[in-house]
Amino acid sequence: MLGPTLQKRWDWRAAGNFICGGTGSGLLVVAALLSALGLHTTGYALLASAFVATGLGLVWLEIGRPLRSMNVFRNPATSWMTREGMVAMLLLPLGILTFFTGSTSLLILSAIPAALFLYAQARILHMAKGIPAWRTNAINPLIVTTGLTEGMGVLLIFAGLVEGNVAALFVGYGWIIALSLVFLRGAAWLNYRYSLANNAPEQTLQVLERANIVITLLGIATPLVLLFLGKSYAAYQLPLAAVAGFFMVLCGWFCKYQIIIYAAYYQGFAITHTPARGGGKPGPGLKPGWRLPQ
Amino acid sequence: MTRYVMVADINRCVGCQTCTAACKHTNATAPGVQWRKVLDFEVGTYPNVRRAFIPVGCNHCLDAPCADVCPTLATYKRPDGIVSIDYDLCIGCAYCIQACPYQARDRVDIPNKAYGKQFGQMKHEQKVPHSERRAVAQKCTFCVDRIDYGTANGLTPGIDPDATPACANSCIANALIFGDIDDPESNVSQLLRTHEHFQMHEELETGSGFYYLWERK
Repeated sequence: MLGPTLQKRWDWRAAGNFICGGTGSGLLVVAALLSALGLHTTGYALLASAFVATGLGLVWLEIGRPLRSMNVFRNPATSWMTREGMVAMLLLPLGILTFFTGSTSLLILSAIPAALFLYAQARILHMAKGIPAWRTNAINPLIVTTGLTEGMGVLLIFAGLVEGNVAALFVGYGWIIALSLVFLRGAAWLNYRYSLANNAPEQTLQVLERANIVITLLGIATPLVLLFLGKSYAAYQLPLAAVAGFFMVLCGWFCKYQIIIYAAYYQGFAITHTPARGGGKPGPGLKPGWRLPQ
Repeated sequence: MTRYVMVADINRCVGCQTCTAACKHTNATAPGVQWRKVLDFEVGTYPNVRRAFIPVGCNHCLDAPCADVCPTLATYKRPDGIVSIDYDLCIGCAYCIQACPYQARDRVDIPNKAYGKQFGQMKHEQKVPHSERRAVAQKCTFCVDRIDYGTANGLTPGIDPDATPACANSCIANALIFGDIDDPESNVSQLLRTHEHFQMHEELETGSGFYYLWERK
């Protein structure tokens, strides 16, 4: 095959690391932010740690030599995978400690490795130079905003478990933060697609085109409408927040799964010139599988 | 300094895949894995159609994306420009496979059988199982053991066959040429001075060590 082929090496287990890790780290950051605004969110730290640990567990199942997995810490100088692993070693105990102590200060402290973890996940994809759908700069804001939005979504789903949290969310800044995150993720998604226009294999663009309708309708429009309804109808705030949260999470997972599993076509092969044959002259090159102009 | 590179004269290459066979013979790669292969490009539409044979493999990049992302330091760059893999360190995370824009890397968890499961492994496959390569990243090494042997014995890689990669040795058209690009008098430096050339995916700024000659200057 000369044209770009779909990567098969990172499957649902790798996607699971980005999905669970992004949601967990995003949840810790958002929980810390809302706790600073007066909500009771330390309980989410355990759930966030469980998400991150699940993601790492999934990726451990994917690697070829799992018994050598400790070698992953050997290259902090240039590898974002090493850095992701290192901050996870801080994030996990801090998250668990936060849950058992109920300390807001610890929650805010654990948000630092969580934010770094989320950023590391974005950079892992960004540094994969062989896959145009990942290597664009626009992948960084997309992965970060979708992780934060998923975290906010989980928080909204379980907001009813702590008395007063739902009302506090809609009265205070929580509502604004949720709206802003959905909006920012939408902007990041648009920016991501724009960055790849004429700059990615044709099949990648087709996958993203198909995903766009789902992400726009269910991931952006639906949560925005539900959050506005929640603001207007206080009696239904709990279910509206939960459903909005559900769509915020679902859309993030869908988006990442599409990007990692279905849109991840390799660069493919290309030549800038064809050779002369006999007494003829050299000819133009070829870049199979790419939309022109490049 | 020394930096070994490969030069492919695409005016000379006839797409015979002798280099592919020589590589498999020398390195005993698993069925389905080709560290060196020749792509067959067709450009244009009838009646203006052109054909080009393009040898590909690891580009041994100056700024190797695979080495940057490797979390274990298993993939590393030698002082002579060759990108190598320490199979004992590699965890098989496949991140380098995603980072390589030349699709030069593979990971084989369970080797395919060349003639299907019912025939099992061939005798020669049983003799060279290369279990150290199982479930870890693998790619073209520029036949690094031959180069190391050659330099240790006063031979010149790219000139003396015993110190030259098998693909370059085997090329029937002398289309694949190996040598030290940092030596201005080397075979590859002279070819690059006298020919128009390109590197694949130059826009990605990997500093590829694989040059394609397409016209004499």
